Amino acid sequence: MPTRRSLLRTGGLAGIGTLAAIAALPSPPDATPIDRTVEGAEPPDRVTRWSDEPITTEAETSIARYQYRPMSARVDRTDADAFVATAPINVVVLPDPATGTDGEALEHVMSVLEDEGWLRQPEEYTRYAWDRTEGAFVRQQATAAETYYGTSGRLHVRCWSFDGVVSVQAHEDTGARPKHGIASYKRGRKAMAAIYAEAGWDVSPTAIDLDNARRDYDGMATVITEAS
Amino acid sequence: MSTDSHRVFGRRPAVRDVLEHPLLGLDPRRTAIAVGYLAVLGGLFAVSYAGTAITIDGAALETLTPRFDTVSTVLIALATATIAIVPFLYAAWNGGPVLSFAMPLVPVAFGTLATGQYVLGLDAAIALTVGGAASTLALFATGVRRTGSLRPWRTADLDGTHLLVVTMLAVVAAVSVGRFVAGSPPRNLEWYAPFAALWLVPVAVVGVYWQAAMRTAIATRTERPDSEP
Repeated sequence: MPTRRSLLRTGGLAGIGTLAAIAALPSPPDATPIDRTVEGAEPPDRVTRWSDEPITTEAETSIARYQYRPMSARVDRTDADAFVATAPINVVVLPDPATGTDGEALEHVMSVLEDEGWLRQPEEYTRYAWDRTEGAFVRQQATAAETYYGTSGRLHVRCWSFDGVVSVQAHEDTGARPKHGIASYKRGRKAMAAIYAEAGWDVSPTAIDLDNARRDYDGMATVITEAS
Repeated sequence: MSTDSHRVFGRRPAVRDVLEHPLLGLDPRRTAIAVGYLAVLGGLFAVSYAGTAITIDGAALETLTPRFDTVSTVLIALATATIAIVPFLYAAWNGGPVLSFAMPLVPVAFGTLATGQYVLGLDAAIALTVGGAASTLALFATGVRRTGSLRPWRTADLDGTHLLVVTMLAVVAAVSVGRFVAGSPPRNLEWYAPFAALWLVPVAVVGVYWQAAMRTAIATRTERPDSEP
């Protein structure tokens, strides 16, 4: 029969252990709801030349129109026929040109998602976009998602930065059953608009026609510009 | 002879002692299989991570062969199963409330290590929910196996330590998930919702066990003579 003192000691230790474990576990991220209304801004001068007519080819502008996957192992990255489009680019981000190189500007763009608690380089498939300067498909340059595996669903982006313009493929993944599928492109675009608007960037919804409609996405990419 | 050599090095008996701990599992061989499974998962994770982290001439290893996409596919499927289903199977198969609780958190911890982002995301909230439910299922499964009854809390030899540990784990999971639910946008709650029903398991098991423990304590106290030396 345990004594009252030993019971109190065990109970005290259990209480302290529980509190310590609760304190050691991480906090939930300060995530922005995606259904909030975003006040639309006029697209900046840098993109007005692209907003008049649909962009119908990869070589036309610095904006990528699709993300691609290679159809077989060891393909020639300059062979456009060796890749197949898997998902449309639906967000274009313009960081402040003074931020630095393409790589630095891309990191600057991604830092907004990191502040939302998103994870960089989660478990995901590798995709490519066409770089017209290099004349070749290049691997995803920066990626982020709300969770590492997306057990029950997650928001997920793949990004490429060409000539200071960041092309983003944003989507909502389905839960892994056992593979991920696309739940929505529209909600991915909406989430990016809400998150960057919350961070003080200017958002111009559906500003550029990339002529790349798929499923619930109408082919009109949202432009997000760093407020100067 | 072999026992002597074990004593000299002192390592294997220590590992065996840990594996034999009833909080990890009833049968050390089955516990070892579960730990081995987690090690394989870790190995697969390391391969997938190396694909993006190791570069040759500036190109990531995974760009050299699309087979890494297959690794990612398998890893996502295995990690999801480990977060959502495997802990329940293990709990029913081999008891072990602590390992049942820790199992779904292992893939989540790998992700935290790889990204350096220590946040309570949806995967972690689901893992804590499953862990809390699986550890209480392990307590129940252990009891059923020991007593041969489907109401193991009715027997006299209720294991107080196990009940206390399982309760602690369930409370830790409940508070953390509560913080997640309170601070999350609606989309995360929508994705979490199917797992919320799992809370019925720890609430029911822990509730029934504590009720039985209290009843036993009160019965013992009333039977005891008042006069103490």
